[in-house]
Amino acid sequence: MEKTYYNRASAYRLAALRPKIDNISAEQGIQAAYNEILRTEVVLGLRKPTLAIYDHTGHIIGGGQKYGFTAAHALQDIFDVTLILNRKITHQDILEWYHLDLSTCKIKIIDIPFFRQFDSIHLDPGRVTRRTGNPFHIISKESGNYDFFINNSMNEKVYPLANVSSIIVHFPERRPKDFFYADHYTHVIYNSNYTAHWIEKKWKFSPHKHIYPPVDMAPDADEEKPAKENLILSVARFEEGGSKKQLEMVRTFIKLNRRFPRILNQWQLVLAGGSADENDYLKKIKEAIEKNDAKNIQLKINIPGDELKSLYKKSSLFWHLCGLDQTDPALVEHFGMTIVEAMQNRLVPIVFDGGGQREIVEHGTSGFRVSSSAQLLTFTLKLIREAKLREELSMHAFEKSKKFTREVFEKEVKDFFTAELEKYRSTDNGNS
Amino acid sequence: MDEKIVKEISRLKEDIFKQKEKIANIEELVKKEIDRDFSVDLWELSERELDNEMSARLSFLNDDIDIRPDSKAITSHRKILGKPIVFIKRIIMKIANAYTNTILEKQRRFNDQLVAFHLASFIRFRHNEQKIKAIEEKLKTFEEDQDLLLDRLENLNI
Repeated sequence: MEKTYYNRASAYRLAALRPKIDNISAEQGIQAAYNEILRTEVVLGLRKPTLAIYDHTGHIIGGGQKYGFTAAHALQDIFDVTLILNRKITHQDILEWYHLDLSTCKIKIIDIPFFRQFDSIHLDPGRVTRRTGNPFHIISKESGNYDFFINNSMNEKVYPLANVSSIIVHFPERRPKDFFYADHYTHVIYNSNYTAHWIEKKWKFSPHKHIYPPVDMAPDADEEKPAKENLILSVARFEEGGSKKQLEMVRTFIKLNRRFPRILNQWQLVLAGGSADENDYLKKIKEAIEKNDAKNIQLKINIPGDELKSLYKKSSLFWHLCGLDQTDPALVEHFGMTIVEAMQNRLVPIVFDGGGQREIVEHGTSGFRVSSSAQLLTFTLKLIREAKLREELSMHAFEKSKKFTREVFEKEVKDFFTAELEKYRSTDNGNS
Repeated sequence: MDEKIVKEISRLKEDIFKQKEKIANIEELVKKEIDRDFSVDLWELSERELDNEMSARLSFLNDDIDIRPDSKAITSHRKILGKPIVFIKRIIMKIANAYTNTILEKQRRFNDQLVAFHLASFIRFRHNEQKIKAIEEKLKTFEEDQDLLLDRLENLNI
């Protein structure tokens, strides 16, 4: 490879370089001229290609953020990677939150003063309008200092200036309005077909590349297959608005308890998830449990990762109803990482039939998809009664979960960006 | 690698980078317009999006209640001639204001009433929505209680 570039370098007509750059600058602007120099350096093999990953939510722990950091992990050998964030976090934080060693990546913190006036941890691009001006242009400008630029949390208000740019969309939260630039990116990468459908509907163009999120909750390969207990598990945040539908789960389980007490007294429902201290929705759930004296329902709030892992290992069934009775597509599960986590631990998922959940669970093969609480009740009872079916579906669920591992994700990311890098290095590139 | 090439590229890069850093405006960097206007089809919006849209537009209307021109908006980029031009323009504006103020003041009062009316409708709409939610919740509780009673009745029959 080196030799090829050396030959190209020899062939390079130095005398023509400056007039060419001046010409580009005059016609397409100074950024295009700078981009041409950056590409020339990579074509000639003068340095390692650079790539920046920007995430305006990178300081908050979450599945979308994990997507971007895992992409950085996959690409750090090929590119000189810089993580651009707006609030301070360290390599150690990333290691603790996601078990990802990104020590070869640089971290660059760029403060956006506009958001200091708001008492919020989240830098909400929705606050940015023509009247406020675009505070994200400081990031737009920074993007022009790299060969490749990835915008991880679908912040469509960042204008990409790098030679090759990608925006990762976990769901198109806002419609095209002031400072909408998502269609200026070289690639739009999406996490599920559900997201792709809504990109087409809301943003009126088709995204380019589908890469499912990385999920790594599987027990170690050398671990023994755990003994399963009569536990139904739900793992979801206790959202104030109740979008994760834990109250409906509690009601369904209480119905099951009443109708089939002899069967159900051997089973337990465990609802695990994060919550703020003050949470009215959580209060309602507690009230429903107390009122019905449902002793076989347990709440596990803000539990540590190890305890959650242990719950996954010993549970048999998994409930996830996010999207039930929902008219807003944004509040339907866009993918469903916890469902995959459950499947990696051989739980049989019974999930809402909508959103990204349709891409994970094949009805009757690797679990069941339901459209109502009544169906949840029916299929749960079926699985409780038929141990053989449970065993069979659990095996298929485990097999299906292999499609969404970190290894698969990293390979897809690597393959995609290696191919893009080859195109970038090629002298046949349209910009040359 | 030919040292000359490496040095020349490095020099060129530094030079262009310096020029680039002086420009803050993205449109100037790429020599084209990047911002566009998008129309919103309100019929396509979800309940949550409509709610946000109503808040945003109401706040927009609220900011523009008073449409009388502000004399501070008159500025000039000319270094020497600027001051007298601004001074003259402001005087012309003051004279014109004497004639237009009556109409514009009427318009301001009308806008004020209109925004207040919209805000009241919006608040009422919110209240009604909360009432519907509360009724739905109560219905669910009644259903639960009904189930509980039916179960107890069945147990009594046994």
